[in-house]
Amino acid sequence: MKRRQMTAKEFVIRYIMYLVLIVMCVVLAIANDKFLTADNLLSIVKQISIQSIVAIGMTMIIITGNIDLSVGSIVAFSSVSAAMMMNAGIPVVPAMILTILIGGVLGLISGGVTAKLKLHSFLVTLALMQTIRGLAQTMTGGYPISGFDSSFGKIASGTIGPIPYLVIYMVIFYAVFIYIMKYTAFGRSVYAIGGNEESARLSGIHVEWIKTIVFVISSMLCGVAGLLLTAKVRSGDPTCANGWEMDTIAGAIIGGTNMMGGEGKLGGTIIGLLFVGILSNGMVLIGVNAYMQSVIKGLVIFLAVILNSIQKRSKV
Amino acid sequence: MNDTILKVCDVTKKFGGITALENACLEVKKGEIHALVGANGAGKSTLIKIVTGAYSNEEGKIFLEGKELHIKSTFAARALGISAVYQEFSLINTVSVAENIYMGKLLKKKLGPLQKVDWKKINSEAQKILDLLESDITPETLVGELSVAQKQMIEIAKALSNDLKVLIMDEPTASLSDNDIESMFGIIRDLKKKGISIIYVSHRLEELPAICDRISIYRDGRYIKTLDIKEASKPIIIENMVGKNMTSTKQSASVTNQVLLDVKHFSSGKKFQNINLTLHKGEILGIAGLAGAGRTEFVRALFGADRKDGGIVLVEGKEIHIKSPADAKRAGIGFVTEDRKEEGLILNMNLHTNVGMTILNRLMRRFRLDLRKEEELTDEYIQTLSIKCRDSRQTVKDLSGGNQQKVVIAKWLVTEPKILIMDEPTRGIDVASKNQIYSLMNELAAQGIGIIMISSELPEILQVSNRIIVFASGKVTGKLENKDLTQETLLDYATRLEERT
Repeated sequence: MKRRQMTAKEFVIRYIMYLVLIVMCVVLAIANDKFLTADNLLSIVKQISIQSIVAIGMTMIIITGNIDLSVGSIVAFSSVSAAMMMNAGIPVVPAMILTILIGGVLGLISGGVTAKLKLHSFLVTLALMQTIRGLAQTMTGGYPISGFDSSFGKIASGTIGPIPYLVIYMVIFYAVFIYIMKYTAFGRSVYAIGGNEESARLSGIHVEWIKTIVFVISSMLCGVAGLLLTAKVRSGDPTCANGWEMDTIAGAIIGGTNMMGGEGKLGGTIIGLLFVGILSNGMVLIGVNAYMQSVIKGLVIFLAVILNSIQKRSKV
Repeated sequence: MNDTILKVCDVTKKFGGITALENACLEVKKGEIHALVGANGAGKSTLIKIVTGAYSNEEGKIFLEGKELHIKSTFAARALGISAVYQEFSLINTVSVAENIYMGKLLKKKLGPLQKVDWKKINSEAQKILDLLESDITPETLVGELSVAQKQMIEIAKALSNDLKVLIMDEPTASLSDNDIESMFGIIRDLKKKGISIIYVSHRLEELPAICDRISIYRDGRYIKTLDIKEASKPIIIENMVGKNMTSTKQSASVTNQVLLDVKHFSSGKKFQNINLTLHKGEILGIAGLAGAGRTEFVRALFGADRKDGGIVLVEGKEIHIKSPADAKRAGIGFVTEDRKEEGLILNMNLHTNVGMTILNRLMRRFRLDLRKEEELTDEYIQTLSIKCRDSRQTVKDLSGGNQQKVVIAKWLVTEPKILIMDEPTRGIDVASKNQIYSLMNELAAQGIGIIMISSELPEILQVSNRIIVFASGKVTGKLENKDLTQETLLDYATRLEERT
């Protein structure tokens, strides 16, 4: 294979996000000696771990050219459902399985309606976001539910050596889904649908089916995230995961996923989430006030999006 | 008179490592119709895009009326009087004709301290331009309601709304019926009388003498020569385009009596009614007809891409229920679509991903796609179809039209189909690639594949098909053996209302 040598400019453009990430880390390390400690770094990763599982589904959905605004609501609904089931005496393992299945059913609704009726997923999931969040709050009267078997908490708080379970889950989920997206017919179909839906359909790809499955997978991952969140805070909270749809979309976009579909990598999404995570962590360490943190985070995302568009345009 | 209006000198354009255009030259005189021809990847499109400001011009010089130009955008080029009408329209379907014509420079009038769009004036100005073109389209009509020929007219009107000096027309007749072509020629001649120069890009070499004054030929990104049209006979043009003489192919000789495909009573609303046809092993069946006869609609329904009201499909005697393209693929049917950009390819992806798209399930080895196999297969087709590209990892967007078409063909050949439907397989591609595609079709027929080819070019359909079915207004009006058939006969059937025997 002939491969052209990359010029310095091309290299910078291609790896700009990584370079910015490294620069940010160096600056933070100099500014605060607590930043570059193993404890702190692990806590950053742990911080983003649950959200990053939701971001897997979001990235896949965006790659098909769709969007899912209901992810945060599904996480909350799962969290509440899991807590209620366990309080009702259902043993932990069946309750977990049921929770994930409930997530799947919700995805079947949003994905099925989007694919079959050819509606815009933005509208479908906007409606579901309200409905599902409302349901979670109705079921609990708006209050968090606790009091279930505390042993359940171990799935989120346990560690192997210094590594928290949560980080291990994240790594496993990413490894599996990176593989699926890259090396399976299903993964390829997801990209093909986002690249050109009509062309994919005429090539014999079951577009409606694949789209629905992607939503189902995403919602089941939300179910998993809901379980982990419930275990972590030891309560089923109908207000949890608020705004996660935006956080995960931001992660995917910063990581280079194309909002128009067809392009994107899960590896990029994790970088995107780390980026935001490190930034937040660093600002807390340096002592930036909370309002200013939001401003800076917003501006950095803005900048990242611009950098990404430059990156895409200069592609040959 | 040696009144040069547009002069292009030594323009070179590179994309990444690939040179698309090298030292290109072009000289167009005032009031001249100048044909621009060349094979696949000859650099015509690149040249046009540079002249109209769609691509930047880094090297070389462009002069308009002796003044050097530095064009920054297509909008700037339009303002200078250089406009292009492409095969793909730049019109917006949901707004009116007049608004389309004045898009980006809507006329305004004062409304106190504010400004207001002056719709009255826009409509009356648009009407003036349309009158100039002797068109009966009204300015208030929505563009979406117009036919292809009418849309092309609006594109020209849009160009005329500036002080037009040079009009570039990219395959203006490719999607027009014979009638519309005549009126298009009339318009072009009128523009010429007004002193407007026209650069006329076309693959239809036969029509050039009727309309053009001079012809410039490009090959492989290089300028070859400019000839007076009287000196440029078709063989001479082709020789310069391909660099060697082309032999024309003959009809496939491999027809058998074995029925491969039997279609009965196919109907879908007003689109087509009661279509019956049979296809034999090794046969090339041509479907002729005028635009809007329902040919594409029929094959799309046959392939499961659109719904049908009723009809039976038998493949090798067995009834097959086709509800989706996936069903059709499973039954051994392939479909090379009419619109390679919208329906055939994923432009942002590379060659092997596009080729592999139809055989993803076959490429799965337990839990993993055999990506090496995919690249190998793609490399094979790059070889056999002589697809001009860097390698199988190149993005298909960067290939020329003819090569993109070959990728679409490759992605269906790789499914090893028994039946291949090809909808306008040579539209918008050059003579050399056309001939390659004809010989390929013959080879496929020789291997026992049955081919259904839709074509609007009568000479092509007569050259390639064993049998020809003619559609008119959604019905079959003729089923003809391709013996002693003429274009006139086909046109006669294509304009009939009922089948006669």
